[in-house]
Amino acid sequence: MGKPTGGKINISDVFDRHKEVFKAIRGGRYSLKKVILLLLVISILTSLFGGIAQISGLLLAQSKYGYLDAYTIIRESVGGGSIPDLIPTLIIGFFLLIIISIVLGFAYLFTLAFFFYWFSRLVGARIPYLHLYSLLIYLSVIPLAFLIISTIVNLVSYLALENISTLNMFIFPNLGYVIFYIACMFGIKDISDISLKWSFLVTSPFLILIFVIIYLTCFFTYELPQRIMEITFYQLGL
Amino acid sequence: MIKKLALIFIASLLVSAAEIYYINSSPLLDEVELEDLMVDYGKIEPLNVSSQRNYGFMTMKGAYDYDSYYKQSNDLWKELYEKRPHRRDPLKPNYKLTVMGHAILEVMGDGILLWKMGIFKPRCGFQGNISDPVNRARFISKHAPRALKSDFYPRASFHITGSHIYDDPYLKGWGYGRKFLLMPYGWFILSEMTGMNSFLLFDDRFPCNMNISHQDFLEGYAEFHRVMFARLSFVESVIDEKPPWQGIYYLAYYPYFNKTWIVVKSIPEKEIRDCRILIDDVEAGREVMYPFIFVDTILDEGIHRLDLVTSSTTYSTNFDVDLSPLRVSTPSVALRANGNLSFTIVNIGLDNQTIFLKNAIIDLNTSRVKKDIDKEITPYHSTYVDVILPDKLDREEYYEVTISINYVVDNQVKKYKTEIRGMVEG
Repeated sequence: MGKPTGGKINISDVFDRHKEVFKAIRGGRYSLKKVILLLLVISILTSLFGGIAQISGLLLAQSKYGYLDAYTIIRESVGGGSIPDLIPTLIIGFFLLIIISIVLGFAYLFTLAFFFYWFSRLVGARIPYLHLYSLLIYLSVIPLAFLIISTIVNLVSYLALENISTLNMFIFPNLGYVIFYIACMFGIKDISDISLKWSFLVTSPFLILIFVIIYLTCFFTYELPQRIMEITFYQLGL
Repeated sequence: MIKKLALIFIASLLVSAAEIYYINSSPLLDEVELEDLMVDYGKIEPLNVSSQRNYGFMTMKGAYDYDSYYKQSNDLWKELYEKRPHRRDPLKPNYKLTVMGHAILEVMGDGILLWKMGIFKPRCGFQGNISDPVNRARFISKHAPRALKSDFYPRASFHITGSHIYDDPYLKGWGYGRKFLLMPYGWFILSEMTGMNSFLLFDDRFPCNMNISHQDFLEGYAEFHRVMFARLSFVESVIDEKPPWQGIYYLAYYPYFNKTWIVVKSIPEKEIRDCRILIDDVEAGREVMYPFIFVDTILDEGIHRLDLVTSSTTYSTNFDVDLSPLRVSTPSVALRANGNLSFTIVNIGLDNQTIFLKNAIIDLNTSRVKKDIDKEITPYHSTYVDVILPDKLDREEYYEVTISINYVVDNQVKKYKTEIRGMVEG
């Protein structure tokens, strides 16, 4: 137990037959090579669409306030100049982005798996580390799907309506993570012998964390500018 | 998988569409016209008093290159106007913050310009030695107004400084946008204290360091204020999300020039061009230089009523003309927590007569203190009065004190009364 024996888990199974995915992982029926490849793909896509989401943030600013020129900001953020001058910078930047995203992807999932591993040990479950790691990588497809979809919808709504929904931009991708942690909860239950209550305890710190992140996102998006304005007026003595 | 991804896509699309519809179905944050925000370069160009065109106050190169500054400024305000958000836009505080930032910079820029024109100090047009306090006092007392009123800030008086204005409990409940408009009001007070407004407005020996006619200067000055008020009204309406305050923003009566200067805010220009001015129900001659109205006025001491009659409404205000030869110098007033009140009484030199001060009666809260002075003051000179009040006060507490001075001039006993508002010092 605990050693992958090879097998086939399709990405579509994560969405359609998650019980089968959990069973396959529990039985060690997955390919380590495929898991690592999937991690690389997820990391790169997350970074890519995260970057696009940032650009759509600039588009949001552009569509809302106009005086911020998204193109100028992007251009100046990579050193200015015309598009042909920027191509080498963009290529180097792209490769750097890929390397950084892979490193961060590994670091993120290893850290998460580490915490899940130790939390599950605390509640008496013994889950092989590789199983846990594979579970997280497969389930990471869910937040990635939310991120890609919300980014595409943002671009579509910007092009069609010249505006971007703040809920879709700031909250929707985080919903993907909420579902991810809930899926992790069921996954940990299924690949170990603990009850749903204990697996909830294992994932609950991260569920709380993601709700805190959602709250902070709302605060920084909707509340902070108003507070800054009030502080500015207070400081001006008005 | 495709079905579930499609569901997520549809959910995302619905969330976006619903939010954007919710935002777009609300009205835009605006209450002013775009053309009001645009400055007329031709009119304002003569105000360029700078010999060195780059002022160097800000790091932004060319910010105070006058022509480019106003061209950039027009472009900026046009863009801000065109991109104003809807009322339900959840990100409108970001927009408000940005507009406020630009407004602060604009007000600072305008203040620097006024400073360079010498509006806050009796430099331009001052005859004699500027450091001679008697000459200075003579200049100020000759040009200063003898009545002052604002419907925008009804507690306006000569005896209030900028910091006192902003600390006034009266402002409680005002929106930030409206409070912001107190800044130009503070300028009026500051320049009135030096007599400069009237000198700039009515003395055609002006300008001393500008090669332009007085008429050109006035038109530029009026345009400067017109655009400033239009932009600040825009900021006010954006920040407070309600129509900007409109009415008589400022009124000052200058007996030396037999004129009353009225500054109106957010009343349409056409209505002002066709308006009538009644003082104590008698129609007065007036010249409109929007947003200014210059009214021919000769008034006695006491309370008078001014009606500004436009095609749509009538703006009425009462104002008190004070022709007494005494003044309590506002900057000199200090009330300390131990109850020590000190102030300086100035003979402002009307009729060039020496005044005998008998006593001062101070009313603070419920207590009244009488202080014998028994001193003579020659014109343009002052005397210092120090009174111990029975009340102990808290530091930075807001106070209102009434000072009544009994004095003798031409063997007649007269009374001068003034109300001072401020904060208790340490």
